[in-house]
Amino acid sequence: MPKPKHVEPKLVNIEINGIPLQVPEGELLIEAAKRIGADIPIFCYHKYMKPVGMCRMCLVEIGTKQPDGSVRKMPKPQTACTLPCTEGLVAWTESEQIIKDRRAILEFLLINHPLDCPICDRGGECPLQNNTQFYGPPVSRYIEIKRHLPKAFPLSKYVALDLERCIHCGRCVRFTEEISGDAQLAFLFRGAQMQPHTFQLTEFTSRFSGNVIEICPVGALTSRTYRFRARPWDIVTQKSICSMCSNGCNLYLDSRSGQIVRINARENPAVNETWTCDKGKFEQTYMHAPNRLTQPMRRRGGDWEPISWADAYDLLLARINEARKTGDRQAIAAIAGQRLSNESLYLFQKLFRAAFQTNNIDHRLTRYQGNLQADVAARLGYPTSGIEYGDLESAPLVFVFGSDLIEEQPMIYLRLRKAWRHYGVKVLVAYPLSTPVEEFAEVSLRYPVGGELDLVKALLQRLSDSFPASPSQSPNPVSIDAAASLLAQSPGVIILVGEKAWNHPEAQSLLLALVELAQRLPDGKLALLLPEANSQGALDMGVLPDLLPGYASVDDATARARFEAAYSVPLPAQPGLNTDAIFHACLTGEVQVLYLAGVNPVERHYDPALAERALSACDFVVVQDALMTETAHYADLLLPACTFAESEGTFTNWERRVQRFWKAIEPPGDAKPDWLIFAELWLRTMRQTPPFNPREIMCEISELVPSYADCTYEMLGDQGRRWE
Amino acid sequence: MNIIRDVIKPISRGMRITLRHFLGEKQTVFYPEERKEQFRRTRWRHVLLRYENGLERCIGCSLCAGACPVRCIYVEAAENTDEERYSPGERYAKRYEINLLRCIYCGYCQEACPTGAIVLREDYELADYTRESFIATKEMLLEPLPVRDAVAESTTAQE
Ligand code: SF4
Ligand code: SF4
Ligand code: SF4
Ligand code: FES
Repeated sequence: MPKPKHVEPKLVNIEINGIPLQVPEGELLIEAAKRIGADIPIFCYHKYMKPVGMCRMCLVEIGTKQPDGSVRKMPKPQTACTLPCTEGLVAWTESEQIIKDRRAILEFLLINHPLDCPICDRGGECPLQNNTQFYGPPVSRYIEIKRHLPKAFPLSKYVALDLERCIHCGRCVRFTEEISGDAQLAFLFRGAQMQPHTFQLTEFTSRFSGNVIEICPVGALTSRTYRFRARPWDIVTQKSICSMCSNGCNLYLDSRSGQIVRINARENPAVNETWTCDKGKFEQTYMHAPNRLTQPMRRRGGDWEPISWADAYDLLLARINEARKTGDRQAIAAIAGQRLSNESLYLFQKLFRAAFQTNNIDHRLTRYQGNLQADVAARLGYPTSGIEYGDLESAPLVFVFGSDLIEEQPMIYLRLRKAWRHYGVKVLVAYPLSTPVEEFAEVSLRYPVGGELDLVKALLQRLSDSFPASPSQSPNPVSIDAAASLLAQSPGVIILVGEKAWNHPEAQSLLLALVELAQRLPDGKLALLLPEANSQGALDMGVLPDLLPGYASVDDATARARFEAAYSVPLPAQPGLNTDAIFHACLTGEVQVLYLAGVNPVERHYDPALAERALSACDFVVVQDALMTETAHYADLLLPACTFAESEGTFTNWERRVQRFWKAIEPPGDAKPDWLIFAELWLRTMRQTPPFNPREIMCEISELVPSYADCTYEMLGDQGRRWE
Repeated sequence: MNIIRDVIKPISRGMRITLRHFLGEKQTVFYPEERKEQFRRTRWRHVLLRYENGLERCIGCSLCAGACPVRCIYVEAAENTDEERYSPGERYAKRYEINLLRCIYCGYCQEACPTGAIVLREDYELADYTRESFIATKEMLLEPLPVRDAVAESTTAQE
């Protein structure tokens, strides 16, 4: 059964350490104890995994209240992590017996433990250390020689295993079985020889392998990239949001002496629970890449000449003014990256619309560059995504369309897998190749590359002329029939639309067909999966040639009037050029100044050759980026920008959740945050007070964009907020 | 006022103490030609010790840095390999620095060290001309190699 949306839990009366309380029936005793602040030490229990009772650390004494008011005590202690609360449960967590039991358990665990804490990467934040400090015996009676096993065995590129330290809690094994689903880790041997390992000692290739490092309660699984780089008291931890995809995982960035040394998950039950993917955890190192830009530079012949920020601004504004004088509106164009914060993107569009009077701005590099508002939102009543993570769990059916989910949207994959596993949500998948989703999908459709539109049309046809339909030309009629009947019989469906749709040659027709499909089905919802960390924010902030922030059309005079009043200049009413049109205009020489802010079309545009030709044809190309990308080689002026780790701001993830990130490290050299560059340009052209920090920009956004009305920094907190 | 009782007597009693010390054993030394012997547990500049076989005792665990109340120790660790071994076990200190200007010579680092690698010893002559020279690096702090190894090394070098 899919998870019901709202259930009133039945409350039961229990008593812990003499304190009576009411908890939902079936809540585990260990969670109930947290409500009154009773500390029960644990190792194997994990909030997001099934309890197994393997480590025996959480022993408590329990009893039941009899009808006459007396308490019948169980003769032996029980594990609190496996015990659901029922009416009349009585528990003692601090009795003399329990104190002795805990000491004994810890003494047992430490018999086989090397206690090399000084060189252990877990030292200082190790649950085994902590529990021993609080509940363990002061000395060990074990004086014999300890067991010796391999140390720092490389399980994969990222994970090292120290078998001596393992306490056999099973968390890592359970993670790969329950959560990531690849079941790559298992316990080999039994008894005292038991060891967690990959089968056949092969490489641990899971895309979520980093999580086992975080959940291992000892230093048995450690990170190879963080190995020996810092101790917990050396590092500064800052809250952040992942910049690698649109899933918006909440992170902690740990830095030491200005270097990010480790990235850990930050719990957000509504988003990533407590997981990350390996891309976000280990591959997010570009802030320390050797090709960071640290100084503004202009092209002098074939060379780069470092210049000051003031000279860079002068040069840029001189070129823009020249272009504005000689050319028409088309002379200036700009493309922004989808990793820029909402604040930067907002200022970007403000600068180009108000100061430079052009609507030639865009952020999209996919084949689909149409008007999502008209194509999707006007038909369905919501832009891009009508769902959030939690909805996946309560949907009867999820249709994954054209997305290699585990690659593109790792966290959605994990949540979908959980929905299937825990709540029996049915899954239908359509992708040209085999993907891991197929393993748990009810029906899998594989179609020839580029056959998305035919597939949707075939599905629509089956759905309309109550099947079995006439024999079809589509490649796999059997599974199409199965898929269609699954869709037709389901009381509701969420369609997750992936990258294949955005880059389809007939992307617009495909999108319209999908909208029709969603409308045709009972309770059909469409969720457009976006490629990058702030793709949604770029849409919301109106980095589009035809829409203002908040999806108001640029030719709508009343909407424009609101922004004109705020900016105290008239705004251009004509829709501008989209990315492809900008590139074509570069080729014809119409666009004389092209401003690229944090965007790398030479690598990321669906047609890199077109981008390359356009950039080499354009008169004056400004590239503002953190890195010397392929695109930056075509620049005439380079402006060094900050990464998300060096500045403050917000990202909006695929489900439209606006989440804050904080500044973790100092920017290298003269690099400036993107918003500051736009603010300084704004000051130089408009002679108006610029915003002084992202917080102020967000205040302005919340005043002008209705959907962001309650997204001020105070309201966002550290868990973010989803706008409706 | 009685001149004898209130003036002469106290002065002469005081002068007697002066005279006793003047004639007794001298406390001052002709520094820098002569140096005073230090007490065994004097806590002055740190030394990083070695084992008898020449391996460094320090394992780069940063516990000293964690214990230091003024945060004047900086440790950067790295991994020992069989070709390049500095200390027993997996980990050694690649960089070890103490800011002697900040240090208050409390000896907490010595107490925190699990291998007895960092100790505060008798070298009290710490004056210098620049601030930078008060950053004691690992090379400055480390005990010299035992002679046996130095000899062995020089003979292998000659071969
Ligand atoms: S796992 Fe914990 S207790 Fe064991 S050596 Fe590492 S820090 Fe010490
Ligand atoms: S490696 Fe860590 S998580 Fe896995 S069983 Fe051992 S102690 Fe538990
Ligand atoms: S799933 Fe996406 S947001 Fe989450 S850690 Fe991975 S790349 Fe980052
Ligand atoms: S936490 Fe309950 S048995 Fe391990």
